[in-house]
Amino acid sequence: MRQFAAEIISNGQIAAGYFELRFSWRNPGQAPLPGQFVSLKSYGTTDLVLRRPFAISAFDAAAGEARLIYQLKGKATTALAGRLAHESLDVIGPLGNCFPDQSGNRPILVGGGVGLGPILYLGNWLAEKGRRPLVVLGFREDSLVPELSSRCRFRPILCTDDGSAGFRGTVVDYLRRLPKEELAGGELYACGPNPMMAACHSLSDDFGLACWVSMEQIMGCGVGACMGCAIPVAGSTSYARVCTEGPVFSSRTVAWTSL
Amino acid sequence: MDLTVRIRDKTIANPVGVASGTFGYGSEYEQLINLPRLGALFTKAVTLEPRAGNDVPRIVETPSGMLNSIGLANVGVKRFIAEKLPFLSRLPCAVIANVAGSSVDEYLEVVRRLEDHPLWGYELNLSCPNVKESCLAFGTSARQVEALTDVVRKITNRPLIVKLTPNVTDITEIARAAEAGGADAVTCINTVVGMVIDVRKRRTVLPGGTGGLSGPAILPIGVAATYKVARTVKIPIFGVGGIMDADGALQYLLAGASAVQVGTATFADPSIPERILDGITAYLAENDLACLAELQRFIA
Repeated sequence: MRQFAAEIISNGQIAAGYFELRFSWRNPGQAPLPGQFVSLKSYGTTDLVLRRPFAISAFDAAAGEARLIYQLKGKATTALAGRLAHESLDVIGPLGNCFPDQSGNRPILVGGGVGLGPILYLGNWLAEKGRRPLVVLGFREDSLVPELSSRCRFRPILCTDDGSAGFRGTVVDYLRRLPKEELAGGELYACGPNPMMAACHSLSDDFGLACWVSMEQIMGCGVGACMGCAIPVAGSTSYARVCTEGPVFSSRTVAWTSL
Repeated sequence: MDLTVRIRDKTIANPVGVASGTFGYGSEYEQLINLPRLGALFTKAVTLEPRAGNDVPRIVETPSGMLNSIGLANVGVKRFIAEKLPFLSRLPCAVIANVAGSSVDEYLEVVRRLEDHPLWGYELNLSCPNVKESCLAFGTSARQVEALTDVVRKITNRPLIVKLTPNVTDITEIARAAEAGGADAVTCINTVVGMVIDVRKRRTVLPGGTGGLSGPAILPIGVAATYKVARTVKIPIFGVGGIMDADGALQYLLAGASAVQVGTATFADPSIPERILDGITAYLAENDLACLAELQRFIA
């Protein structure tokens, strides 16, 4: 990890309430891996003290460029959305661990909402390595779905809660309808709202699959010093730091009912 | 120009330290900060046994600050010695163990175990607001602060610093008790008790209700406390609370602090402690001041 000044290449809306930020990353020696994140200094008002963590959604070493997808949620992301190309960003990264890919099982990727970013990066990264991931992306409705074809080296399955695009239902509804042999021998990778990831965890339990989830928590330092971004660990009284032991955990590590 | 700070029979190379609880055990920031430039490093609180910490969420941002309720999550003194001290003891800065406990015996036992290991000194955490049966109970009673400081004083010759809570009617009373108990310095201030309520969910954001407020919101509180304590005790003061830049640090030094600690600001930007040191140095040079102590003569 290091702290560096990056230049904003572009910063624009890609779906209702969702933005994509492209920024320079000229140190390929410290390339971010899928699942890793950066923290950005907050701008716009002295009111905001804490940096904000954002997962990387794409990295292009040759172009020296990284991307992230963020949702307008509060003051910090509203201020970020107002920042323009050529302005400078204060970046610390890459931070945290990454999605593992050792088993050779078929990767089944599940992204929901703002969890789309790291899932896109992982899907493209796997596709580049010649793997054939099944990528299922969930949104509440069509207006929240960004243009995907230029961002994907794979063909994602779309799900919307209201059926306005793709499959009507949740990502887990979709997966549960698949023939069992499609799921068997797969390995789940999920990033999205906690209920979605908890449902992926139950699905993985039912089918005996490994399941990796990328967790979110409010962060203080982002580097493991403050013990603030803890999540409860299953079957124990202990906690794990999302910024350091995570953000990617085995879904069996997470005490889902205590979140 | 003399930037050294003298406490008991030891010196610290410069007045800018990093506050306990915001800097882990040092190695977390190794890749981001030039650690040898720090004057002092106050470790995450060390208790006798490991502590898992409080329920989550533990942090919420507030206007110009943050509220935390970490609950002294730490690895315990045994692992601190085995796993954290080897790295810390290689640093040239003053490494000060922040010691916490829920009984007098626990404080004593932690210090006793640390005595055989390389450390510059101790900071007694008598003021964490986030633990049940807490050290805050010690920190708000002048009698208990004096008694605890006194018993720890008897088992160590290392510099002993007492960290004061602002969550009392009169902080000078507690500072006086620390001095009477034999403290070599006080740290002024720990976090201010605060609460944030989620009006949509109609419950407190932190599961325990309250937390400790830090960040620029509390700068004037810390400066005022330092000003009052400096006019009450003769021992040096580490000023801490809300310092985001050299200006904030200089406010503490002008109010009577001998050194400062930077905490929440490091989260915002890890380069801040070093920039503060540069800013203090430039300020002294621009104003023809030969040493830090000269800053203390301006404000009556």
